[in-house]
Amino acid sequence: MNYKTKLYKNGLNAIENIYKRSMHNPDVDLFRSFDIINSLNDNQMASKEHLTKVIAPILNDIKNLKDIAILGSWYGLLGVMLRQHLNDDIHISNIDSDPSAEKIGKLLFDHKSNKFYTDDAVDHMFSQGKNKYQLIINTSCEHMEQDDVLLMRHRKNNDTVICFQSNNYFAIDGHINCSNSLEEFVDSLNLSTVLHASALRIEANDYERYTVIGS
Amino acid sequence: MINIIFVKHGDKYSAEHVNTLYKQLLTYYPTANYYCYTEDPEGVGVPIIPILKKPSLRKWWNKLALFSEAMPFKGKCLYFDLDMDIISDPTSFINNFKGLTILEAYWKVGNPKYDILHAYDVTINSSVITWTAGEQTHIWKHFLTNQDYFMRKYKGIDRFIVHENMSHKTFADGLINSIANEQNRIAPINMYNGIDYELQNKTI
Repeated sequence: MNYKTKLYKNGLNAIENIYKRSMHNPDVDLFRSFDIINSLNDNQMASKEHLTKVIAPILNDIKNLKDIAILGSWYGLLGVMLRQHLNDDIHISNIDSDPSAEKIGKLLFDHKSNKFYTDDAVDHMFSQGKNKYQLIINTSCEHMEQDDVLLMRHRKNNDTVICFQSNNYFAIDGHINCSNSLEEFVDSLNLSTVLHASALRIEANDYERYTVIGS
Repeated sequence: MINIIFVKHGDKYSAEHVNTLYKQLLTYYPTANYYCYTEDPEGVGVPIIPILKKPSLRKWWNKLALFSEAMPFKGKCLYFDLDMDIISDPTSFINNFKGLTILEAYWKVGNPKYDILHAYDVTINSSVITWTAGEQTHIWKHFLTNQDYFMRKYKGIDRFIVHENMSHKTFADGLINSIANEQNRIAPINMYNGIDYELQNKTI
């Protein structure tokens, strides 16, 4: 079974579990089932697949790659995709402030080297040494304060590679830090070296997702 | 002394909406402290409370920040949305500042679709709110525990308040007439929820 089929199957099981529990417990959060579906929708798949496609050729060039941070990881979809390109001795830390992300993320894909941490992304980065992560990924810059994005971006050593994503999808309430263009997003990150920059058109919702890799 | 507070964020409403509502309310609340919580103070004729730098919020989510300990006002608080038209004296309806008091959306009451557990739409409307400063900080704190999820889950703060079990009561029926809902009631306040509110239609 390929990872995508497994993800969808596990997602359906998670939704079934929520529904069954809701039959006996009025406090069960039914919206979580909709949220799980959204986390695996075509747009999410396309955005994460794009990032995976552009970072995969660079992975072998990252010095001493042992630990990867995914900030704002939601239910860990990107980590699942990256895992297909990584040995098990390379650890992925999924970091999200949502206390339920870990439990649901593990239901979707439980792997000994894909860990979940319930934490604010900035707090997490500052609780770790600058050498902890060799690759720092943030797929949710549009959800985060710009000064926080820059704090995360600078919390690294010179060899650490960062891969950040944002978008120009202003219509969502939680999107407090969108960029108007790829150029604007690249400039906002103030990178020394830009290894990659691309815009992925998401036709269904008429927006662009920006991906930047650099150091 | 009552604090009357408006929130203006983004470009849906102008400074003129604030100033007109302020003038209307001044008739009935001549000694109140008036404030506008906004990121754009230009043209606003009442004292400004600058939008909190963090967290950045959009549109109506900023209303929740009024419950923050960071707000400068003390005592009785009365909040109005900007799409309100004050027709006559509302003070007999607005007289309880204990706890959190919110409008009941009378046009929704009795419709069974609002009883569906996962319907999420609710029968309150936060266009008018009363509370006492410092006594509802738990609402803001709870929002901050998982703000991104709450903003995905709920389309506005009314649903957040109900479904996150924030204790509240409602004003006595008769305070408002909802223009959007085709029930021409005689009430102290006309509200324009969901439709454009043009100032030339105003009573002042």
